[in-house]
Amino acid sequence: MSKKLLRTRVLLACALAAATPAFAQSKKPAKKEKPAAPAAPPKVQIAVESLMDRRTTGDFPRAALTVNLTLEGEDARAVMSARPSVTSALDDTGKSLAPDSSLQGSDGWQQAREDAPPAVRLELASPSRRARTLTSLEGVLQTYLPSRDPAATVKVERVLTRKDKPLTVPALASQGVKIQVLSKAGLEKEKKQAEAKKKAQAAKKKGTKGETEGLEAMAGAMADAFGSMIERLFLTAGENDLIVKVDDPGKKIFSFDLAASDGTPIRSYGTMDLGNYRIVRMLEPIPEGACLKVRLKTPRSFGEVHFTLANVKLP
Amino acid sequence: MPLPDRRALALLILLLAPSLFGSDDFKVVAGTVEDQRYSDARLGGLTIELKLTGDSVKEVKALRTRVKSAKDDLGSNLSKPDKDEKASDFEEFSLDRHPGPSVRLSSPSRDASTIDIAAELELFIPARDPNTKQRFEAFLSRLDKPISSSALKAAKVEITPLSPGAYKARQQQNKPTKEQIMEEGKKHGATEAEIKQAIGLMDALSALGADVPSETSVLLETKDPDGRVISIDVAGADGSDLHSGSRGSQGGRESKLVKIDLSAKPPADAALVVTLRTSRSVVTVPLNLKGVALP
Repeated sequence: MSKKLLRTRVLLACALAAATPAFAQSKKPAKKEKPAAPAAPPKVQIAVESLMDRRTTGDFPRAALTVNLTLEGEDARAVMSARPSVTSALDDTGKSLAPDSSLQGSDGWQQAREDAPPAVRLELASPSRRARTLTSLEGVLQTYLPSRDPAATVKVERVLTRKDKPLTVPALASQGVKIQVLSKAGLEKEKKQAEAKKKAQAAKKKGTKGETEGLEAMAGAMADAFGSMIERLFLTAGENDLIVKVDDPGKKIFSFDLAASDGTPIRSYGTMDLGNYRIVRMLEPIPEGACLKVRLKTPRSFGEVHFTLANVKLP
Repeated sequence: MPLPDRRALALLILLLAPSLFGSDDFKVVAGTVEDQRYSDARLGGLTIELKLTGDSVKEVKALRTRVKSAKDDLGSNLSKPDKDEKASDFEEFSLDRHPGPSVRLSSPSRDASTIDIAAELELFIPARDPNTKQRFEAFLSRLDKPISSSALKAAKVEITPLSPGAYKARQQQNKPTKEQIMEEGKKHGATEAEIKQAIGLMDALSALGADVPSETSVLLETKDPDGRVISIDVAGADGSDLHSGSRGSQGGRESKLVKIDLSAKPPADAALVVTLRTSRSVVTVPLNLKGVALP
């Protein structure tokens, strides 16, 4: 294979990988990005709420020990999201239950519930049938507390009146972040643009038959991927959902949430990421006058809590 | 060689009869074993998937299991049915249906290694009795009156096709009050917060309109104290099956509201096809699983 062709194929593979949307339903951004310098640890205590030991001779769902943790203490209610990681876990037969990191699918951030801190869930390997206790469980809980840093929340007031126009928000611009709220009509326009781009690429490809390798093939593949992503966006977005187009090269956005004009939080049932688009899933229509809160990753809004739990009785 | 006399021949036929007409054609073995253990002991349990093999398995359309005894190797009893508990309803069966049939038991001790189960598997094979299928023509022209049929009567089954108005009235009549839900939840040891959450979820589902009939809905009320009805389908006058995208029901054997949502509005001459369990259509297969390894 020629060097040029090899380089082109590597470039194409990279471009496709970058263009492939994260199609998983997630409540938080898909990228694992450790905050630069976490602030002081929040005043949060961690305790075991319940356990579920799923033992099976089958392959799916696989055998696992699920540990549900509760957050208590002065700062517990301020925790908007939490992500646990396990450094060691042992049952009383000496078996290590530390999870296989290669099996961790989502980014692991777990969101706060209505009027309650996040219910933190850990999935460990299956203990021995003969084991009676989880002798030790050690780990770190990363927490996101935007209330600790005023710069972590940027408000877009009356968001429903600002659809389909690029939003001018200095606090976001200073972070290199651009967002645009899309209506269904706006999304339709994006779809038409994607289709036109795809057609243009196809025509170009036809015109240069026999010379399709290289950058043109790559551009064609990207146009295809973009078109199918917009198509999926169309199929996925519900009538009440808020669709936000995001340009965030520095990965500064942590999440989005909504509040009514009086400041009351408006409940969503998660956020879905599709390439540069985020869908805030809503059960009910967003009320007039609602404000979009863009939560940013700032060093002061993160904090780590180290935990050690011992002699937890297995069910 | 002398020919066997008639009595010897009759005896031979009688001895062979069970294997010719009985349950020898079916073999049942344990599949996946799953033990779900929760710190809240009211939840979870042991599930043993059953795998059916044999030439006639493809003719089995529904089944149910009746556990006679189930013990782990430490002697713990894993099956404690209520004295007043009725036999469960038959579940639909086909070879490609997942999850397949299973036996559900209490979780064994962590120290246990194996379990033994003695049970009966009742297999519904409609091909063995043409009377299992009862067809009622143009049922939509006789709404809000029970279908008159000697076969249904003999099975103590009553089926009433309902108009949307009658269906909604019965829905309202059967809807448990919040106080009743609270009382029932407390009986089962649920906390007040859990019960409130359940009520909230019910209200949210109701707001989504999941139980509101549309013009493609076929609405029924069934009374089936002995659980004899296996399935109810809607067919065209020409016998073609009218596809149902979804179906829902609320209530129990004594009185159940059924909503079958078809992919299109049913024609006025649509027929209701009721599949009933009869004694000739059910084959009982003994099940003895010994030393099933626990995960």
